[in-house]
Amino acid sequence: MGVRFIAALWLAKLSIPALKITGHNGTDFPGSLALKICPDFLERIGKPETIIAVTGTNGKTTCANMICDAFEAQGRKVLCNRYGSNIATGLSTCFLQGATLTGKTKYDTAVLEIDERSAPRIFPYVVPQYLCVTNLFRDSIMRNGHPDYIAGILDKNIPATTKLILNGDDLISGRIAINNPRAYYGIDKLDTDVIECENLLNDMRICPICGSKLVYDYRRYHHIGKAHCSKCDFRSPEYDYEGHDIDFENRTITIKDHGEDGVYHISNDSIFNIYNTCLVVTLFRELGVERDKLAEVMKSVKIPDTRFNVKKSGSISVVTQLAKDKNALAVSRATDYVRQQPGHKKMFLLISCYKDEHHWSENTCWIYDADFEMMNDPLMDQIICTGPRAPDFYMRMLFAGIPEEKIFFELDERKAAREFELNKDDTVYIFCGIDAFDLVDDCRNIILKRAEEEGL
Amino acid sequence: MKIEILFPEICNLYAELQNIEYLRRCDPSIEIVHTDLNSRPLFLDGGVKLVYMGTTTEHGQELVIQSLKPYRDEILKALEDGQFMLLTGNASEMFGSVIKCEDDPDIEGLKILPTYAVRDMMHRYNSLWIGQYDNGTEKRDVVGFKSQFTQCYFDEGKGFDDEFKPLFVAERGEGLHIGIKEEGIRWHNLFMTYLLGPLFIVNPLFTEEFLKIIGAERTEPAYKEASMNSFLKRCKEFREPDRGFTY
Repeated sequence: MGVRFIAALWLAKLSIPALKITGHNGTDFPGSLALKICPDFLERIGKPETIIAVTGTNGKTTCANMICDAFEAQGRKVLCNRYGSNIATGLSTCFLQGATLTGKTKYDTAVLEIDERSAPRIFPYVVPQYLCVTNLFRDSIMRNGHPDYIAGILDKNIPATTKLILNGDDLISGRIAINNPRAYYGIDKLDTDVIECENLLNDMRICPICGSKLVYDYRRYHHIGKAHCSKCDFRSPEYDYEGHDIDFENRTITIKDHGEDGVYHISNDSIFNIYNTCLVVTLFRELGVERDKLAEVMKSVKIPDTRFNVKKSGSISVVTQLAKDKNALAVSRATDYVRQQPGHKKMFLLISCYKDEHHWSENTCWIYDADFEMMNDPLMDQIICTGPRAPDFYMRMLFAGIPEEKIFFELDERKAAREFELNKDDTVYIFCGIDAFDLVDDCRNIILKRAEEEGL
Repeated sequence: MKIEILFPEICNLYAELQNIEYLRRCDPSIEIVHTDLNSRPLFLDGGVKLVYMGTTTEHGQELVIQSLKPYRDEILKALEDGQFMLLTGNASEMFGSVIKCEDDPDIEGLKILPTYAVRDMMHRYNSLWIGQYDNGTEKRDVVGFKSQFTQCYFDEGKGFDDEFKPLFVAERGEGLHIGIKEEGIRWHNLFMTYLLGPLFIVNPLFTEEFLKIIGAERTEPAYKEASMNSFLKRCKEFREPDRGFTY
């Protein structure tokens, strides 16, 4: 154990209470400091014997949190980076928080959300027993390029011994690190499945082996579904954990593994989140948790409030729906979900890439990759385009065929919340990115207060 | 008027196919046809006013070269004869001499354009971009974004001249490669640029120019007021001195 490592560990540990006193909880500073003093800190710091990592384009925070919740429901305390970042500095912070003054870990298990692009800086030093991959889709054009690029990064860096928990319905993430041991989960054909793609994003149209056209037996959304090659013998993998019989009324899904069914609670009725449930169930079954016990555990697993929540005032409901800006897939999943909800609705857009807005301007291509056409629906009464990118969204809504009279335009978000037309029984869906939670709270409160004051 | 989109199954990154949909919204008489990787490009047999190809993945670039190689001489002749073609993002790289790769073997291009690309997958180049398009009588603002793993250069002994003209000139941001201001190339009626946006949607003025050049029946930008509002705001933002420009 080197002097540099110990100095890095102690100074970084000392910075934690200092940050708490100054109100800077949850930053990456301790890990960042440790890595600056000791560049191989991540290699040297003690790590739990079992490491479960979660990566993928969408759903990794949700899944990592669900996995932690499931461990806690079984009475096990695990180390996790729930309150830090998912890159090397965040993981360093997480490990040092869980370590003694000599650098030994105090935990036997860690659940780590890992940014897929950070794989080259993390996997040489952190070898997960299980790596859960939610999916691979297009993400930030600037950072992530395209899914093929990210799949290539994961291919090159996933440790050979790591067992992969993969979505068998995703032909992109399902094919990474092809020589690694793996377990596939998936959801069997649903009544709502289609054959032709209804989405703008459709990144798996040709066979990855021979380049011929892929034929979809059924498609859930985008490239998620079951497909086979029109020429060679390439096809989607068989599931090891097969989800079927989703009971939306009672909020359960049946998942069959090793020939037997288990019935598990789903905390959200969007298919996207049901996939997250399948991932968590697959992981715990792989870890040897019995079906009955797991079924009980899953009852206490919830989607974090920041991802999806509903607040009511009188007849008005305000639904906060995480729809990460720069990420056309996340927005498309949200528009699809909203489209399927009954009743009249309004959409309030807070996806202006606020973090970038101060010094930069996000590449807008993603707005034209996102399925805003799904909001061109008779039950969609109004779309509120607000924030610094409001002119772009206004243009996008027209492009999506939404009548001009349904679009409310106001650059100031709080003013928009005060002034858009709010009627009795309205459901307002706030689409928000991860950098606008304070703004979301303000706008939501304004709307709820209006409902109260206007007697709606 | 017929517009042929080459290989939409793979050349579809960054919403670039919406460029052509936007042209159709401007001029509803435009008919869009799609040609897949296993088919002979329609324009080689005539009747296509504009051929379009957008950005694809690195693997996709190899598939495109493979698919177009048998028609290389016919494509060259069609372009020399004045066929309109628009290549956005990395689509032009397949028409150059070679794509030089940092960690992988170089990829031989179609050798239609005297250019080559240098690919570095470890360093993605992101930038905002503002510059001008010169239509011969006036210069008009053009905005866009760059997001790429490559930089483009002319082959040795070649460069911008009367035959190979810059499509745009940067006011802020870089040209075909870091260090020059000339962005994109116009050669006969082939237009290439790395600018993303989608290009036409974020540039109503250039769209109008382009529709005139290709002889569209209607040339007014669709949703003109909204498009101009967005465009003018972006021009203003991109000229703010403290606005970060590269990432």
